[in-house]
Amino acid sequence: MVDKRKSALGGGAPRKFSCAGFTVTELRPSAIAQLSGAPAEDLHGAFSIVATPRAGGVAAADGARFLWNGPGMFLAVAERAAPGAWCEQLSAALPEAAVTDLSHARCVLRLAGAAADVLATGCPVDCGELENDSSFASHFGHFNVLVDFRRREEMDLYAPRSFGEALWGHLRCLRAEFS
Amino acid sequence: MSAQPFRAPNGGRIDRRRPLRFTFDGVEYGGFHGDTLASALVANGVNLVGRSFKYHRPRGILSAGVEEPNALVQLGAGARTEPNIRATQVELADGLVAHSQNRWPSLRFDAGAVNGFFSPLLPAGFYNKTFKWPPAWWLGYEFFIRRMAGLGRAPAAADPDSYTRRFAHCDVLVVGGGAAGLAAARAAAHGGAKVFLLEQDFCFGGALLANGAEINGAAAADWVDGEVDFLNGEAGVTLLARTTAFGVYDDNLICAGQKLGGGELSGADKTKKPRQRLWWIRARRVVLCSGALERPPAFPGNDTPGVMLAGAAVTYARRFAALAGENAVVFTNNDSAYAAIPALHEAGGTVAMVVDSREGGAGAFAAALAEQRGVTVRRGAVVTAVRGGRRVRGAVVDGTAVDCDLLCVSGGWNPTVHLFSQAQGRLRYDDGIAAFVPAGGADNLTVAGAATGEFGTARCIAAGAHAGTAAAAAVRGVRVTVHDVATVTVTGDLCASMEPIAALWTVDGGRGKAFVDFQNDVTAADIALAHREGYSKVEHLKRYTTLGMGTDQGRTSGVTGAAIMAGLCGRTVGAGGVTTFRPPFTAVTLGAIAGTGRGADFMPLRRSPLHDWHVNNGAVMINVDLWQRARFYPRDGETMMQAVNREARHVREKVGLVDVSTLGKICIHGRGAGVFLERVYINKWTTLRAGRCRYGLMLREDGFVLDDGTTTRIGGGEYYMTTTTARAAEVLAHLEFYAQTVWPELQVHLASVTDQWAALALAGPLAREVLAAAADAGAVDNNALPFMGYAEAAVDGCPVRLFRITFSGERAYEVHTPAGHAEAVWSRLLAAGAGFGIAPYGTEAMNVLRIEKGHVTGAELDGTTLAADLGFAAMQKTDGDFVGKRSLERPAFAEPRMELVGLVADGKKPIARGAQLIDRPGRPAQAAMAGHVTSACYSPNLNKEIALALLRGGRGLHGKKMFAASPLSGASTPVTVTAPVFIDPQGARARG
Repeated sequence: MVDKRKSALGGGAPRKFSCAGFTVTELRPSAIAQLSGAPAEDLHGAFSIVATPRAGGVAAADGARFLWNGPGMFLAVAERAAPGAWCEQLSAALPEAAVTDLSHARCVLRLAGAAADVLATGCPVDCGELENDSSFASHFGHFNVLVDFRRREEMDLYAPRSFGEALWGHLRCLRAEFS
Repeated sequence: MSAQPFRAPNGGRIDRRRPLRFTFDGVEYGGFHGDTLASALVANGVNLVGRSFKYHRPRGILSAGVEEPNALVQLGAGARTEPNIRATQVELADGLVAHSQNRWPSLRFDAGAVNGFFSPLLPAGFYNKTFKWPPAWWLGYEFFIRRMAGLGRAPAAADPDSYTRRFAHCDVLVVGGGAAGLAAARAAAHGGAKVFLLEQDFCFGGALLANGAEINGAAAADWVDGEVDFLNGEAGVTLLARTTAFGVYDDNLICAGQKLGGGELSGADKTKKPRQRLWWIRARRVVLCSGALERPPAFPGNDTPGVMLAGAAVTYARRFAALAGENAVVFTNNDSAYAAIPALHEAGGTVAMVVDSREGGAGAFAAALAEQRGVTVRRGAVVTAVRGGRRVRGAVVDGTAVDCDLLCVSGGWNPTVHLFSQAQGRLRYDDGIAAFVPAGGADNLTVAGAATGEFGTARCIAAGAHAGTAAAAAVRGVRVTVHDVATVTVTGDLCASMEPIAALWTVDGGRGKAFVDFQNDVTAADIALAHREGYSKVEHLKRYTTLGMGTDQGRTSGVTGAAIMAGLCGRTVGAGGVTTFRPPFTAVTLGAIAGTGRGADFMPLRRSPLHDWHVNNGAVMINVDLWQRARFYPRDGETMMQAVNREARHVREKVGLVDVSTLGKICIHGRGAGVFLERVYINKWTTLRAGRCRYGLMLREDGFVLDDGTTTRIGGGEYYMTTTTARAAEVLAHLEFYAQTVWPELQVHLASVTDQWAALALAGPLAREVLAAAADAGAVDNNALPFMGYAEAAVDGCPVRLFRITFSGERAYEVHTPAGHAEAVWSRLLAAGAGFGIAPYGTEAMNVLRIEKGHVTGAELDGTTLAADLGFAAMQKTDGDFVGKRSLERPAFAEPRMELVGLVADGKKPIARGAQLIDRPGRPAQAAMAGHVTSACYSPNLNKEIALALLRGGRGLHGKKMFAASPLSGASTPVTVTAPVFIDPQGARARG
C-alpha cells in the first residue's frame, strides 16, 4: 500500500509558528496505536524498555514512545514504522493486548518554550508536580488532549484529528498573551 | 488641565515625575502615576461624582477601596466601555475617560432628583405594592421600571479586548497583601512552601501604605517595599497585584480576576494583549488576610458629598497626598478615626472637632493625638444633621452647627469575611469590636490579621507569620519554625486597638434621611418599615429593601442594617446573623469569564478529512453539532432546493457520493466481544460471521432507544461499530461503562476510531460499477460482496474497508479508509465514476433519501421511542437478555404509543417539521394532538411532500386523513397517514 496521507492540518510541510514565548510545531509520527489490556510488565519485556512503565509515565524505546493512558492502556507511537507493520509488531509482542491503529486519528502538536504556561491557560493539571516524561489525558481549553510531557519546556499534545485545525487556531490565539 | 488644588506639595506614594491626564464628564484633569481615579478626583477638588440609584441624590466619594458604594463610573467609550466601576479601584492611566452615571442631563443638574420629592411614595418595597393592579398593565410598568433601573450602560458593540485564563497550583495561597498577608507569604515561603500572594490593589501593603506607623524603625511603607522585594526574589513565590480573589469553591479552588497591563480602559491597546486574566488556583492551604472594611454610622444627611470614611480620608492624605477637605470634623465611635487628625494636618488641612459618641472618649494614645493638635473633642455627642447639598458645609453636633467641608466618619470596622464564609466558615458576633468575626468551620483555610478582628500592625504581622508557618508545616508535614518577621517592632500605630468601641449603628432624631445602604438608597427608616411589615429576618430584609443588593454587595451596610433590625426586634446582633455571602466578592467582567471562548474559539468545530475538498469544490457548509459538513453543492446559480432535488434524484437514477466521516466509529476487541454485543443490542449477534455486517439497535436502561447503527465482524474477536454522528460519544461511554464495570470478565476493549476512518457512501444503481472501476483489485459483485457484506480492498493504492450497507435505500457501499487517505480515495471514486455520471451530494439530499426510505435518525430516536414504536419489535430477541429489556415490561408501555408512520401531503403544501397531527384543520392548540412530524421534505423522486411522524397508534391508522399543523406558523397541511417506507419497501434496490 502506498502512503498518500494528508495530516489533520493538510498536505505539504508540517506547520509551525513561533512567538516570543513559545513555538508550536506539527509532528507527524508515522504510526500510532492504542494498546489495551497490556500490562506494563509485558510492555517492558517486549520492547526492551529500561524500566517498567509507570502509571502516568512515558516509556521510550528505540524509535517509539509508550504513553500511559490508563491501567493497561498505552498510546504506542512509532517514529518510523508503517502503521500496519507497527500494529503487527505490537500484536506479535503482546498477543493478549488489543491493538487499534490510530495512525490517522490524531493531530500531534509540539509545544516548546513556555509550554507549561501555555498549557496552564486551559489545562487544570499541575505541571509542577510532574516528572519529565509523563503523560496524562486532560482538556486544554475545549479540547481533549493526551499530553506527552517531556519536560516543562517541551510537550506534545495528541488531539483528535478532527479538532486539529481548531486546536491550531486556539494556539495561535494565545500568541498575543505570550508575545 | 487644572492644577490639582487639593494635592499636598509633598508626600504620598505617587510619582510626581509622571503626570497623567484624564477626563471626568468631559472635563480634563491631571493626576500622577500611582493615583487612583478617586484620589485624582479628590486632588482636583471634585466632590460630586455620582447620583444615587433611586432618589438620584448627589453623592461623593465615601471610601478608598473595594467597599465604595457611591463613586461608580462608566469607564471608556464606545465598544470599549464598562459601567459601574469603582473610581476608588481604578488605577489612573494617561488618557483615561470616565463619566458619571445615572443622571440626566448632567451630574450637577439631574432631573431624576425629582424622585426625592416623591420619596414618601417610594419607600422600601414600593414596587411590590404599587404595580399589582391591574394585572394587564404590568408590561407597561415593566417598560418604565426597566428604563429607570440600572446605573451605567452596557456597551452595545462587541468587546474589542481579549481575555485569558490560567490554572495554577500552590501549597499556600495568601489572599491580601497587607501586613498580615506579606508576613504570611514570607513565613510560608520560609517554610518551604510554594506560595501565591494575591493583592487586589496595584500596590502591596494595604493599610500600611497610609497608617503612619513605623516598623523596625522605618516607615511602614518602606517595610512593605522591603518585604515585596524579598518575596519577588524568592523562587517559590508568585506575587499577583491587581488580582482579586472573588470566589472560594470546593477543595480550595480559588477564582481570582487579574487586571493586566494597568488593567483599565485607558484607550486602545495596540499590543492586543489580554486585558484581564481569570485565575483558577488550587491551593492546599489558604490563608485569608483580607483585612477589614470601615463602616459609616447612619445619621441624617450622611450621604452628602464630603462625608467620607475616616480611614479613606487618611489614605487619600497619606498615600496619595490628596486632601479630601481643608477643614474637617471627625465623627466616630472608636479610636481609629483619630488617625485623621495627624494625617490631615500633615497634608495641609485642619480638624475642627472630633465628635466621639463614646461617653468615655478615646483611649490614651488617640486622645493625646487630639490634644497635641489642639483639636476639640466632644465626648458622648453625635452628628444629627449635615449642612450642604452638593458639598458638606457643616455638621450639626447635638444642635450646634460646626463649619467644615469634610466630615470623616467611622462606625467601626467589619472584618472582610466574605471568602471565609464562602468556604462554609462560621461567624460569630464579637461585642468587643461590634462586628462579625470568623469562628471556624472552613477546611484548610485559616484567617489572619484584621480579617479576624485583630487590629494593630504588630499583631497582624505576627498573626500572618504564624498562619503562614502553620500552613507551610501542614502542607509539608514537617515542623517549621516561625520566621523572624513575626517579631517586628511597631511604633506610632493608631490601629493598635479598636477598643474601647461603643456600637453606633444609627443616630436617632434629626431631620433628613439616614442612609444605611448608599448605593440602593436604603435608609434606617426603610429598615424600620420592613420590621413593621414583618420582614425581620436578615434575608427577608435584604430582599424587601434591596439592602446590600447593589454592586457593593453591602460592604458598608450589611452589618449595620442587620444590627438596626436586631435592635428593632429586641434581639442581639449575633442572634440575627448576616446574609449569606456568595461569589463573586466583587463584580467580574463577563469577558474574563468567557476568556478565549468567543468568536472562532467559542465552539471548536470539527473537520472531516474531506473538509478542504468540499470547500474548494463549492459546497455550502453547515454546522451539525460540532461538525462542519457539506450541505449541498450548488451548480450554475441553483437555489438550495434545486440543488438538493437534483442531488437526491441523481442518487436514485445514477450514482452519488457523500461524506459520512462524521459517523461515530468504535473498534471492539476481545474474546467476549460477540457476547458483549449480544447484551448491548436488542438483536442477535453471536451468530454474526466474519465478513458480515448487521444493523443493530441499542436501548438505554429505561428501555428507550439509545442509538442505532451497523456493526461488522472484521474477523476473530474484532468488530467495527458505527453509531449516529450525534450519539457517538454517548454510545462509547455507555459501552465503556458496561465493559469496565458490569462485564469485565468479557475482557472487551473499546477504542474510538471516529477520527481514524473517513467514511464515504457510494450510492445509486451504478454504485457497483463505480466501485469496480475504482478498486485496485477484488470483485464487488453480489457474490463477493452481497448485501450486508464486508470486504477489504484498495482504492488508488489506499487501504479501504467496504461495507455493503445503505442509508439511502439504493444499492450502496460505504467505503472507509484511514482519514489521511480520504481525499485520494474520494477523488479516485469521482474519477472512476465520471463515466457513470457520479456527483457528490450533501447532507440535505442524504436526508431526503433516508426519509423516502423511512430510515430513522436522531429526529425519531428522540429519547422517547421504543424499538417497537419504530417498527423494530420483531428484531428483539426473545431468548436472551439485553440492556433495557426488563424496562420494556413496564405496564405503561403496553398502552397505545406513538408509532412511526409516513405522511403524504394531500396537495403541494409542505409539511412543517415539528407540526402537530390533529384530526381537523386549525391551530394545534384548538385540537387534541395525536402525534407530531419528526422529519419532512419534498421528495423529488415521488414529486410529493412527505414526512415521517410519530402518531399514537399510528400503524393502525394508515390511510387516515389528518392535518399537520405547525405550532409556529399556524399553517395546517392536510395529509394522509401511510407506511413509513415510501420507496422500495421490499428492499430490492438495496439488495440487487
